[in-house]
Amino acid sequence: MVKRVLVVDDAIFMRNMIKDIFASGGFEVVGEASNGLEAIERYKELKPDLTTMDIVMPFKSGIEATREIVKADPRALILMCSALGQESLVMEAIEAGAMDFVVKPFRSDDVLAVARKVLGDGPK
Amino acid sequence: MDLSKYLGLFVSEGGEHAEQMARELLQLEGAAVAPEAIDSIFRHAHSIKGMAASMEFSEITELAHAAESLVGALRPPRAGSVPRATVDALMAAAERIAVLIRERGRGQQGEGKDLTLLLRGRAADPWSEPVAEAIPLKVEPAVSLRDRLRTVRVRGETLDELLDVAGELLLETSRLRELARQAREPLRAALDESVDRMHSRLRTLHQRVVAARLTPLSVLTDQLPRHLRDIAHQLGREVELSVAGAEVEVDRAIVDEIADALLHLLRNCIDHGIEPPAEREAAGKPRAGRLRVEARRERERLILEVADDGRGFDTKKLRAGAVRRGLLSIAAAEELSDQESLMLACLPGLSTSDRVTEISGRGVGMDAVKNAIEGLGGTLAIESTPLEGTRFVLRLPLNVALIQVLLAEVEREVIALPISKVLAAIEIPSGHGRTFEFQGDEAPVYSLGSLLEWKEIAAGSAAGRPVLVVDGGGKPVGLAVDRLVGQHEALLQPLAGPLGQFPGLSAVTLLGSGRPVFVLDVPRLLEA
Repeated sequence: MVKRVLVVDDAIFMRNMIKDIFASGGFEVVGEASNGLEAIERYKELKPDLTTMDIVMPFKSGIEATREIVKADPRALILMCSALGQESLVMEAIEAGAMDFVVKPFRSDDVLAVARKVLGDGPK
Repeated sequence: MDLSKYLGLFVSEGGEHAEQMARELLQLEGAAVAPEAIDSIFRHAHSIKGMAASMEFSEITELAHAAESLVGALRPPRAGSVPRATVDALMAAAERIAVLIRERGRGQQGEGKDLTLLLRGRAADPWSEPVAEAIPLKVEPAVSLRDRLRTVRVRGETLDELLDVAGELLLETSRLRELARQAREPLRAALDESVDRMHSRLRTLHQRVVAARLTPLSVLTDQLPRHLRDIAHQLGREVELSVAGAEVEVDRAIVDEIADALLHLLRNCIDHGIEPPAEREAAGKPRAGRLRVEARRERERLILEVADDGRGFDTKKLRAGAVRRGLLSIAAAEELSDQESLMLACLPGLSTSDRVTEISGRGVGMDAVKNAIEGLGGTLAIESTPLEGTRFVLRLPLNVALIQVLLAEVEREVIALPISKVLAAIEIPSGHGRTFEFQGDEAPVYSLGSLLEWKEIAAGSAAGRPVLVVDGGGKPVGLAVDRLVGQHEALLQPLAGPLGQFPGLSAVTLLGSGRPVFVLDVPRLLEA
């Protein structure tokens, strides 16, 4: 079955790039959100197989959104998207329930490999 | 990955972040630091960094990274304002980033190394104020001759129309977004993206129009000396006026609306506050009464203070006047604090002056002033010390722009809160109810549903419900709601008629579906 992905990032630019990466890897991007609050709503609505989550976002951060999503659905698979210099935030996100992380700038192969690992398909 | 297809989006979205960053930095200047302001500037630099890194534009990535680190080093904010040198360095970075982004858009590559190094240097100690002007920034003259030649005059009404149209277009995109929700994939994704882009460009257009409407307060204050001299002369007073902050810019509609209010207040000061010269000399004051008008920006507000060094309000007389006119019972009057008594001056038909004068009439004016200010979404406060003087403090919006609101459902009704007033959205763990811990402080939580009675909710019942943490006049206060609905960009329409008297509601806005939603006036709600 084609895996369904929710993309969360406050920049349209980043969302487009991430969507393209997933599309090229045979995933289906089913929705997008531009802040933590919207992410929680969209997650409930769409129940995606995988969610990519930016950390620094307006109003509600990716870490808080992750915490709430995982609390409501402990089986949620969340992949954090971080930038260089955010190591401590990444650790916080993992503690909040995120499964793994990728670092900007993204390389398609890396992102897809980590996504497949998180989904339990193993790297291909 | 073929990066060239993302270039257009990078230039427009990255450029917007740089512009917004510069705009928010301007507001940092000289103002007390708000943590949210720092967070927001941080996010702009961070977003630019992420995008530039993805595009492999190293000069922009490094400069944005250095800017982000410097802003990050300001956390946690200290009391007072951010040192000028730090604001200048960040402003230079924002402007350079905008230039570098435009250059990349044209297929060129610029330089940011000098600024990157400078920002790194400041990040080591961002709160220090350099003794000498250590930062060799190239400063352009504020208005060059070339700029002046490029300036054109536009009729005010044209700007009004432009603002209306830009605002309506923005609201129309919200409707489009709602409609797109009903489309099936893959059409929905394509529509979403297109609407997102359109919305982002329209927002820029709207912001430009809002910026074009800004007018310095000097257009008002420059007229004051002549007016005040006339009034003082008629009343046999002597006054000296000092004005500060005339360069502060606000929307032209606000300038129009406050012109009368400002003059009214000053007339009141001369008529009721400032004593005749002989009386002042006998009291050991200079013959000429001092009037001071001071304007400043505090975050998204204009603070306008009008002060005199006259005899001050007589709160006893105000209370007696209210009782005599049947506006208050004697018992109620006795319970009023001095602060509350001062606001009696704003009741229609009340004045402490024993004379009826042509200038300020009998109490006519103060109620009109208060209404005008509140009609703009502002507030009026009065401080007065007997024999020393009176100070009127007006808090007003800077413009009539769109604001971001948060939608929450309460008792099956959707209500909007300005996001600027919301510090966080949290969920209270079970076992807690009446209070919660927020950033190390114990804060009370209230149920928004029963707010009109303003009861504390029963222990435990807030648990599991979303709680919005709002700014309760410097202290966090939790408002429990039933459900968070989402974010919305709102063009606010002030409430008219009896609804306007309803405490706690400030305006109404239309959702994308055309459904009207009330906007909560957080400070007034918490006062009640």
